[in-house]
Amino acid sequence: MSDGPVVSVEGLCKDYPVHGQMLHAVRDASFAIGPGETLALVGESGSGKSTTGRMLVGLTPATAGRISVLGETITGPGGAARLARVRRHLQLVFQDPGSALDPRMRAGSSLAEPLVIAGKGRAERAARVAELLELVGLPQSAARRFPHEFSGGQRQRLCIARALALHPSLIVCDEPVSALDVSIQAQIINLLLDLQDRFGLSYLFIAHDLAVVRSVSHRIAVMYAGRIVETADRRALFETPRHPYTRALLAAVPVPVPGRPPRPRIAGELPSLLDPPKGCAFHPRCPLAVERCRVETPALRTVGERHAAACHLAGDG
Amino acid sequence: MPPLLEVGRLNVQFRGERGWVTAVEDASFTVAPREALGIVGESGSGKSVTALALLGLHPPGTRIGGSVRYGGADLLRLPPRAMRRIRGGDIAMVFQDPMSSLNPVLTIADQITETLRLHQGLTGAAARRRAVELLDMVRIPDAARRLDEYPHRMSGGQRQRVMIAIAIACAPKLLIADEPTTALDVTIQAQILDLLRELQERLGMSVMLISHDLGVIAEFAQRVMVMYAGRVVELAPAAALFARPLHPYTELLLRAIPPVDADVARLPTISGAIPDPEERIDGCRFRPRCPFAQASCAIEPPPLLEAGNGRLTRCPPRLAA
Repeated sequence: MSDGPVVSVEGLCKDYPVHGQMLHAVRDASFAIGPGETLALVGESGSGKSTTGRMLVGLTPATAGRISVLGETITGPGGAARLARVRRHLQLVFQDPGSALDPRMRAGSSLAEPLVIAGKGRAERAARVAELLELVGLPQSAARRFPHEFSGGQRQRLCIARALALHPSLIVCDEPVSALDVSIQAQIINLLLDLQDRFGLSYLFIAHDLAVVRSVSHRIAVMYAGRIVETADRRALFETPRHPYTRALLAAVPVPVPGRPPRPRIAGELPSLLDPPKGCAFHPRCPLAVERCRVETPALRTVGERHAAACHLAGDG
Repeated sequence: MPPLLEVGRLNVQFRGERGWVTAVEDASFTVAPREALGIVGESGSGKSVTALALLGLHPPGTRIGGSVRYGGADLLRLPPRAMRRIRGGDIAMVFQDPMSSLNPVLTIADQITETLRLHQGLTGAAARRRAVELLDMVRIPDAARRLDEYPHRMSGGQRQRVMIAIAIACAPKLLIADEPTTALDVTIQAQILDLLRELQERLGMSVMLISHDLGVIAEFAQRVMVMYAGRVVELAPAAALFARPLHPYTELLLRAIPPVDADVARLPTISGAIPDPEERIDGCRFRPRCPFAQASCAIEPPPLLEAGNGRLTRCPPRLAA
C-alpha cells in the first residue's frame, strides 16, 4: 500500500428519477481521505451526505464520477470486480444499532459473520470474536447475548466491532452517535478515536451535529442541497468559516452557556431537491446574496491553505 | 408571586412484567407565571412522563400519586370533563413529531378551527379569521392560502409552526413543549426556539420546555430541572446551574458534551449505562456511575435538599462537602 489516500473521489454525482424529473442528490463531490484521517461530511436533511457515504462503500451506484479505494477505481467499467477486491477494506456503521443487528442472532454470531464470509476457520473466528469484544470494551460473556439484552451504547459497540472484523482501512460512520444519550455519546466517540490511533483507520464521519464533528474530525466538508460548499481543516472551518451557510450552521448550534447574546439567524427552509434555486442553492436564505448568486452556481475554489468554499463572495486568502 | 403550577411529590408507575415500575419518583417543582422552565434528562429520566401525567395524558392503568395544583384545583383529581377544558385551553402542549400530531386527512384550517370551536365557541368566518391570525403569529408566510393545505404539503418546520399555532389558539397560561425541535434541522431548530421565545413574551405565558439537549435548554430556560432515572436530581436558575452544577450527574453530563467552540483531545465520559427502569438500585440511582459515591449513598434514596439561592439538589454528600 502506498502513502496515497485511502479513498479519493472525483466529480461524484447521484441522480434519482422522480415522477419524470431528475433529483440531483449529490452533485460533483470531490475529496480524498488519507490513512488515519477522519473527514466529516456535515449538513442538514437532503444535503447528500448519507448518499455520498453509501456510494463510497458501493452500496449505492454512482451516476457519474470516480471513486478510488487503495488505488483501485471501483466505479465505471470493471469497477464491480475491483470493488470486490477492496470490499473488506470498506465498512459501515449506522445510526441505529438496533436495526443494524439481527435480533435473532447472538452477538458472537453477528461478529463472526464477516469472518465466515471471508472463509476463516472455526478456531480463528472464535479467537477474533474474543479479540473484537475486548477491543470495543465488551465482556466476553456478551458473545452469548442477543441484541435486545444490550443497551443502545453497547449495541453500537457491537456494530463497531463487526465493522472491525476484517481489518478494514476505512469505516463510513453514518450518524453513529445521533441516537445515543449524551452520557453514552462521549464513550462511543472516544472509542472511535482510540481505534483510529491503534489501527490507523480512516473514517468518513457523517453527522449533523457540528460539536460532535469538531471532536472527531481532521477535515470537514460542509454539504448543502447536494453540493460540498466548503471544505477545510478542522480549526480553519470552525474558526474562520468562509461560506455564509457554514457560518449560519455554526451560529445555529445551541451551546450550553445561558445568557449568550442572540446570534444572527438565517430565515427560510431547506430547498427542495426537485426544484432547487437557480444559481447558488443557498442564495434565497443568504444574507449576503447579490445578483450574481441568483444566476451563476459558484464553483468550489481555494480561499486559503487547504481551504475551499463555493461562494462568489468568499475572497481569496 | 404565587406559582402558576405546583407539582408536589409526583409519583408515576407503570405495570411491568415483574410488578410496578417507577417512571417518576417524588418529583416536586413549581412553574411561575411567565417563567421558562427547562426540564432536561436522558432516556428514561421521566421528563416526558412527568409532562404527560400533569395533563392526564398517561395511559390507562398508570398509578399516579402526589398533587398538581393549578388555579385552586388538583389536576390529578379533576373529573375528565374539567380536565379536557384545561387541556388545550389553559395548558397546551407541543410534541416532538409534528407529523404524527397533525391529522393527515384534515386541512390546516380544520385542525386550528377545531380547537377554537371546542374551547372558545368560534365558528365559520370568525374562526377562519382567527386561524389566519394564528398562522401569521407563527410566521407562516401567505397564511390565508396555506390554511387550506394538508400537512404533507408542509416542511417539518412549518408543521411544527402549525402545532404551535394550535397550541396558542386559546392563549394558554402554560405551554408544555416536549422536544419541540428534536426532529428538526439545526437552522430550523433555531428559528422555532426564537419563535417560542417571542410568543412567550407576547402572550405572557409560562413555558415548560422538555429536552435532552443541554444547549437548547441553556438557550431557552430561566430555571432548569435535571432528571435522571425517574428522579429530579437538581433544580436551579439556569445561569447558576450551568456555571456551577451541584449534582455530580449534572456536572459530568455538562463535561461530556463536545464543545463546538474548542478543540479537545478526548471527551470526559460518564462510565456505565443508564439503568433499566425495572432495575433495582438501592439508594441514589446515579450511584453505580458516580465517581464520588460513598457508602452512605447506597443506604436510602437521597432527599431533594435546599441548597440556597433557589437551588435544590439530591446529593447530600456533595452539599455537605
